[in-house]
Amino acid sequence: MPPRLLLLLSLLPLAAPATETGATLAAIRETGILRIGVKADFPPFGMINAQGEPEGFEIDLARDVARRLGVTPHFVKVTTENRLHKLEQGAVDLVIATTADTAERRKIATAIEPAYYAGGVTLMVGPGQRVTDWSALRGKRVCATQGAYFNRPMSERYLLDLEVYRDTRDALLGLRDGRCIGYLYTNSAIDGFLAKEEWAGYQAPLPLALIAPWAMMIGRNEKGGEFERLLGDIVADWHRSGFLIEREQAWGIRPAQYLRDTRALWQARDDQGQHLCQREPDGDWPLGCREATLITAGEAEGLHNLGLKFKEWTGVDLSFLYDPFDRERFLRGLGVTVLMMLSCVLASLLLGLLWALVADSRWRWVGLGAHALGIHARMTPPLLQMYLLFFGVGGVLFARLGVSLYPMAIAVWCMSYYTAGAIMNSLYEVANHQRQIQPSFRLSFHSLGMAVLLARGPILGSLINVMKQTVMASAIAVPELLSVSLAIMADKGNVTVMMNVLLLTYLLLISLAIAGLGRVQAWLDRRVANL
Amino acid sequence: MIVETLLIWSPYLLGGFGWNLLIALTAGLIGLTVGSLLATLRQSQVRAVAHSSLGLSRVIHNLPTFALIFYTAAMLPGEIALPGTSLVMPVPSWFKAALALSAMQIGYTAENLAIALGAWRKGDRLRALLFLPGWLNGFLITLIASSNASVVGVDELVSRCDTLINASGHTTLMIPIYLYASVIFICFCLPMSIAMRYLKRAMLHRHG
Repeated sequence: MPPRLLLLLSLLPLAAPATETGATLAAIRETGILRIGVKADFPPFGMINAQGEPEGFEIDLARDVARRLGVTPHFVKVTTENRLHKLEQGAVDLVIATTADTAERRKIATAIEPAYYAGGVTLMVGPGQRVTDWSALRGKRVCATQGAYFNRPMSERYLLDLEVYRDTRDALLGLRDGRCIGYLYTNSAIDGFLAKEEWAGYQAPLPLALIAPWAMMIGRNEKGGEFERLLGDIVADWHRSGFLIEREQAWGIRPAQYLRDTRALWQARDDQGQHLCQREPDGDWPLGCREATLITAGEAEGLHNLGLKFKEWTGVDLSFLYDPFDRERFLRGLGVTVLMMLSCVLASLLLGLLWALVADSRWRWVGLGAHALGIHARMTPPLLQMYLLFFGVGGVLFARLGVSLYPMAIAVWCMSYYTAGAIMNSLYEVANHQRQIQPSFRLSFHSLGMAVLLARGPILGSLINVMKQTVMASAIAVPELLSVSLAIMADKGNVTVMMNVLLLTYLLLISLAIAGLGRVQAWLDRRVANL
Repeated sequence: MIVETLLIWSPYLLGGFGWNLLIALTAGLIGLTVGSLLATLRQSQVRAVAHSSLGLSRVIHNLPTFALIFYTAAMLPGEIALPGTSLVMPVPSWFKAALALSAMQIGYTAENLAIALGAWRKGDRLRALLFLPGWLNGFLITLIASSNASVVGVDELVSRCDTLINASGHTTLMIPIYLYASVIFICFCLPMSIAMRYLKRAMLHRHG
């Protein structure tokens, strides 16, 4: 090949996208044809029917775009590998081909906001498996397929023990033979397996994780142009009118929560009756109507902007500070933790004092009973007590009476029960010690005060411990600090940051508590000195 | 039917309790090692070393172990390449949990070992030996807390209870199985706790 031709060829891909913003729309209007890249191998989103014509959810969307622009749709078959390349080459004007909108892809194409659908990761489990929560999978063996982009984030965020197979088929066999509890894969593919007779009884009970919005894509140079704006308005109208949900149902696609949530958001109106999601003077949608993970520092303001800049520079994602949603749930978690700490301290103290009175009572059998209960309280792991009450007793109560127990109350009860057992024991030992000096000594409302003074060290120690134990409430879904930190980690992937923030926050809380109880101890010490 | 199920599955559940014991023992030994190191450093003539050792043991002592279990599970690698060799050492999840649970024992050892060693040097052997019942008490508390390792998937007693409940498919078994697990804990902890109390009392008695 002559060198000049080679040079020319190498320039070709560069030459094509060098069109000016607006050139695509002008060409579409001039020719009356809209060239749309669609998939042929992704039923029911994009596939070929018996007549060899493309059809599916995305084809319907493409036809509607063409109808609204008043032009003829011309479908071009694209694949996952070449869809954005075709766009760059100028072979298609628009791509609607199950493309997840990511920051990397935005460097080579323009994503239309809002997105028209969202895919995510789910877990396919065998018949009769009871899995309701991703966090219940910690440490469990899960089948996965090699090369899937979500394997690593999912195993990091939910501590899954992945057994990675070469391909989908092998992973499915691994699941069938019980080598893992479930198969981790994209939900649209798993929905396809579940529809087959071979997998009857199998299910995908978990909410989608790592949800990625699917966006229409146009050329990189069309960013900020009329074409982008037109398409964005069309998708917004699809959400508001319910067109997407209607098409989803028509193609028998499993209802996606994303479409319901997005529709509600785009239909919401302010006090003046205006849509909340309306283009701002600069043409952008308000930040609240956009994908939080795809907003860059240049587009956000104030604290949000600072936080994103910091993340882009250092890779440290302090989303619990700058992202309003994360900040709110983190603060709420902090509030729940502080509330639980205070409740546990009060409940343990009160229960422990009463318990000690009963344990040291005149009636021998009552005292023995109280001691036996005390042994149960001190020697049963609080976690086990919480499971017993929450899942065991709570389950029976719900099945028989329809009553559901309040998780936070159960957590406070179980931890206070464990701690009160220890406080009772400390007081009883003080009483025993006192009896060596004064044989008629018995714990009563009058002598309790002195016993507390004498047992102040161990009692304050127990109270500090119960404050540390409140973290355990996360095991029964109390939205305290650990729970919200795990949730933020799962959404943002900032495992290291959140884990360290969690420990530092606890250190601060416990240090404050120790300082506070230290003053109480000093005050008690003075009382003892005055005795 | 319930009693029968519990009997059949007893070896499996007791095997789980074996993991609890292993975790608690490992945590206790890590606590003893690291705690002694911190206690030694605290005796240092260099004030900065002594101060930072004290600060570190306090910080470790004040961290909630339940949160630490998540921390070590998420932050420590699954395996470590030994430098200078081609050997790769796996870091199993039960060990990560033991490391997290050792925080309390590190705190106890760092606080009390210095006192015990001082007493030993002065010839007050019994006072020094009082370190032991305290450490054993810490072991029992760690043993009870080791059930928390189930939340990161360690295959110990509570974890095996859940597996059994899921496998049986009968939610009616849930309450008996959990109660049975607490009986296992009590059957181990109660005799130890009584023995410890006698030991301590006997020591104090001889001590006068």
